[in-house]
Amino acid sequence: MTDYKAIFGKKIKFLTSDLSMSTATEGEVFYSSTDEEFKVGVNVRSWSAGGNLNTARAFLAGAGTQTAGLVFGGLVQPPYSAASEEYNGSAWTEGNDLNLARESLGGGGTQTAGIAFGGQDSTAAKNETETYDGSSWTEVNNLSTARGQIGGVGIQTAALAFAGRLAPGPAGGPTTSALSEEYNGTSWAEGNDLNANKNRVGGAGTQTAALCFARAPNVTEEYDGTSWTAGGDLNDPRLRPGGAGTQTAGLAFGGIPTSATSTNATEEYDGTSWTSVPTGNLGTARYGNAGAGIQTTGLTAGGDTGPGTAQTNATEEYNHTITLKTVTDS
Amino acid sequence: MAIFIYGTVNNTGKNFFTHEDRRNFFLRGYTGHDGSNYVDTWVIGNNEKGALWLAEKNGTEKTKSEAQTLVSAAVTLAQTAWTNNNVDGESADEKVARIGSKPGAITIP
Repeated sequence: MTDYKAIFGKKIKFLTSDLSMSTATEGEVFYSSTDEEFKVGVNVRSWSAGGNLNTARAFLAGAGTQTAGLVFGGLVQPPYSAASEEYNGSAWTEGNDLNLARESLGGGGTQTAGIAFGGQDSTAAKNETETYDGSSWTEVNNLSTARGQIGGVGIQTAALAFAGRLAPGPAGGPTTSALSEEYNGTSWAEGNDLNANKNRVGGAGTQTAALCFARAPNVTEEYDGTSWTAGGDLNDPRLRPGGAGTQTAGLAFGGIPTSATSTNATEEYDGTSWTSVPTGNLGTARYGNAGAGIQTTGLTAGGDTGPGTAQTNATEEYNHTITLKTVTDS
Repeated sequence: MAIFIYGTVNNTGKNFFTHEDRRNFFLRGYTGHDGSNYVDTWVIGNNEKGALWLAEKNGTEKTKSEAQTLVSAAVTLAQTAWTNNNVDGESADEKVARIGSKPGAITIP
């Protein structure tokens, strides 16, 4: 008991009922007088299979939550998709298409108030912005600068577009962008640039508390509504990862690390540094996958399992919970 | 005892694998091709629950070599598609700029 207090900083609690999931913390031991057992809170983080997309595709955008998700656009065979699908926690339902088919676009918002912006086809980067009302997509004011392979976070009335590529092409290169633009529900205004040019980035958070993460340069950047500053580096830097969550509770999953084949690695961000989650690897490695939800209940759909091998329709749901385990001497 | 078993079975969607499955055994999926169709190819932790999962899904157990052949066949298809995707007068650099680098090999564990 003395050792436990020295290590954990607290005495073991004597409780008549179990700690709830929201109040238990990892590693915390307590005694349940009801069950006459010592128990401990254990972090459980894993991806499980969700309902498959109706249209397999990569480089699509995502929005919403694990039980009310939205994906739109992307690259299919043949090339570009305008398809939009809604997720109810079990299955995807096709909705009305985007007005402009494209891939590598940015997105945000919710299932009933989504926003799509930028993107590209084989010939040009796009500046088109569209908003979704739960039924159909409507064209609204364009981005100031057309960009594909763009990052996006926020909601329909307060979105943030960052990084990207001014013309279709590979990672890096002279047309890679550090631009950042803010949408107020009516029009886009240019904000301060990222500290480095980037494309094929992941994103999380809001317009005033955003996170941008990538492979090269491997620097996570944090936006406070005014300027970008450096955050912690990904342990497994990658291009085109899925992203979800907030600036202080972010989630990165999938992507292409330096090994040049897609990864199933997942990492969690705490506002300072990324932590690898070996138990939380995706079931199917992929890149260019859509992300939605939050750090404790994330959602991913689609992506390419290669690179260049095949677009997948697989969906996975991430859960990070604290569960109670009985302490035994075996 | 081998660390992994290998099998093919297409992902049917919701609860094809659960959070409990993920805690009970290693699981990683790859895209394979059997000469006619794409087929989801799985590397599965070699324990009772992993083997039971593949059986319950009516999956087909493969040797590591057979699984690698399926995955490599999918990569070869992607590489061939990449090689055949050309535009007259386009340089090698321009091609990479247009469609990215040629897909690389995938080695399963």
